[in-house]
Amino acid sequence: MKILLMGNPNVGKSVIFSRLTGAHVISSNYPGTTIGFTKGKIWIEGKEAELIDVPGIYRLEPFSKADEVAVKMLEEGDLIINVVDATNLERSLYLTMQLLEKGIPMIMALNMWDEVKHKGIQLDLKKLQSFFKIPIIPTVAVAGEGIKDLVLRIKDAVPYKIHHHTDEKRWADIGKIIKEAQIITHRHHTFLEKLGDASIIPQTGLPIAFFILFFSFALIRFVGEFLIQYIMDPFFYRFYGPLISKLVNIPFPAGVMHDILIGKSSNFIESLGLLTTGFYVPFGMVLPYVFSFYLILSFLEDFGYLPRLAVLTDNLMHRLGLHGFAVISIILGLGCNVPGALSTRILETRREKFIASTLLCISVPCMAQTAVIIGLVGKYGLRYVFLVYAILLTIGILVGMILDRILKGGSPEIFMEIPPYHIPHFGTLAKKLGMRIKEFLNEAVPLVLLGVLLINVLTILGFMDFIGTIAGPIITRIWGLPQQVVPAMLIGFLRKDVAVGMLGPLHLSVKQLVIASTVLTVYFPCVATFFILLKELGFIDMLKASCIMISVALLVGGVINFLWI
Amino acid sequence: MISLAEMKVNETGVIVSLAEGDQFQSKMNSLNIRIGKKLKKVSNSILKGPVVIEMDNTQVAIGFGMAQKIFLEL
Repeated sequence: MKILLMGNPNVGKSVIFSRLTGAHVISSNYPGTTIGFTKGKIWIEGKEAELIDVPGIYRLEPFSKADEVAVKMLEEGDLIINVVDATNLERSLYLTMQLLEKGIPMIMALNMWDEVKHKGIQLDLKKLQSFFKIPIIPTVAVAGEGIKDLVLRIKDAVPYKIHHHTDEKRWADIGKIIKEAQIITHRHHTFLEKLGDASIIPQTGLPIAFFILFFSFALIRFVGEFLIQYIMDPFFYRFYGPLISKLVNIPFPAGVMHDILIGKSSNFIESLGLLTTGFYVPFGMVLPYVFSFYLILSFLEDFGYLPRLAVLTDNLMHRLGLHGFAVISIILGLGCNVPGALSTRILETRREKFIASTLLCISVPCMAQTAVIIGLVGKYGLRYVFLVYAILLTIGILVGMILDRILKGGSPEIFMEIPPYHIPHFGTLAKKLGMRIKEFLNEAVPLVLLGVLLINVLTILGFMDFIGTIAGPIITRIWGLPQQVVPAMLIGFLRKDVAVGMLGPLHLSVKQLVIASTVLTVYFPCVATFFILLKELGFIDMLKASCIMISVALLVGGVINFLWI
Repeated sequence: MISLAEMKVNETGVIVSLAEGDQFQSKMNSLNIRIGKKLKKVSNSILKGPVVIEMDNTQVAIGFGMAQKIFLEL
């Protein structure tokens, strides 16, 4: 049996999904967090059933790719758990009507039940029940309330088929139901609502946005550096380092194996050993920043800030051929380009997806890369790290403006629901953070190890010198970088953090470090992002995007090299 | 009758007409923006940025161009 979890965007389907299956899926307080579909298993009356978390939609006529996914899923469903936002019943019922017309057995979860009273709404469950002859269960998914009932009542789901109606008839019916079953009393705005308004009105919202962004980055760095300085570095340098070198020295006091395993240097970045650099980069350098980034991001997401940022930046984004929602892709991309690239699915047109993906690859370094840039370039002063970011931001804006001019068509306007602020639920937040860190480790550690191993093997085989000699002259002349940077660019395709780390042993000047960090961001996406985009954009568009990236990298590296005296 | 784009912040109005166009109307409809609905303007646009409205306890951001196509009676 296939059970579909359906409903409007941002009503808590994913939270219910993880409550029902015990599986971990990402949920946030903005519409469009679920863009593909997630499957899980649940047990009903001793039988196994498949539960599918369908992306949120407002109606069965699709507007975007994510909507299409949802509508298609409907053909396969045997039963629908219709998740309805109890605080926004009228709008939610439109989809409910459309779903009932399909004649698929349904039960309704009246979610956010706890918020109903706070919002001055009175709902008459019995009356609601008498209109829809299906089980209706009030739930508070984030707190787990009502979930048990929901499972118990699945067996009671019956098809309650209504006739196919016109738009007007549907709304008229909904109007009738609402009039009888819901009373809304006026009440004063709460503090959170006032804050919500203040952060969306441009006059107050823009200063608030600057403050929040600045404060977030300061906090990310503070927490990241704190973890590195007081936990990771002491662990690696005082405990792990000496131990591992003793252990390796017993069977391999010197020679090829010794060098592959722990390298020649006692510095964890410079040694390029599998057991030293291979573990220090993902755990010692990147993990602290990934942790602090997702801690802050998850809070902002669940609090509901990001849609407001999307509204405030909509104007600027339009000049780059995008609309405000793309700012969410960019912010996700600052953590890891992969979820950033996936989130472009919610953008409506191919043109927007192309521009958003290209800009993401060109000017958004992921947290892994940022962490290593801060580690290497930050030694010479944070202003150089800012310089790299300022250059990337400028490139992003320029390339966006140019693409907007060149590509035919306009960017659709923003049209999105702004969810109210919620104080995040601690358990949900912690779970989400844990999930993201696990995802990072699962993906990063094997690739970093593979990268470090490749560096060693290719160096021993003489391949690194070989391509260095071939591509070196161009890089030396245009970017002013030594030819040893070529291997780093090669490895950058695998992992950007390892690539930036490879600059460590080269002892570059600040100018060279800034140029190398910039071009390593711009020139090409890492392999994980590359394959996602290949799938999302198709071969031709990805080829175009890649050409843009490589040309921009050549150009920008050259410009910095010649302007910086 | 004025358009949503021309309305002032904190003013309340009832939607009396939506510009022609099936796609536009169906898009508005999906978020319950229809003739007869009462809404309040929460935020004005700057430099033709989006406007924000509040309706039935929900806020919706609407691009400036779309806001010009929604007409209300104050």
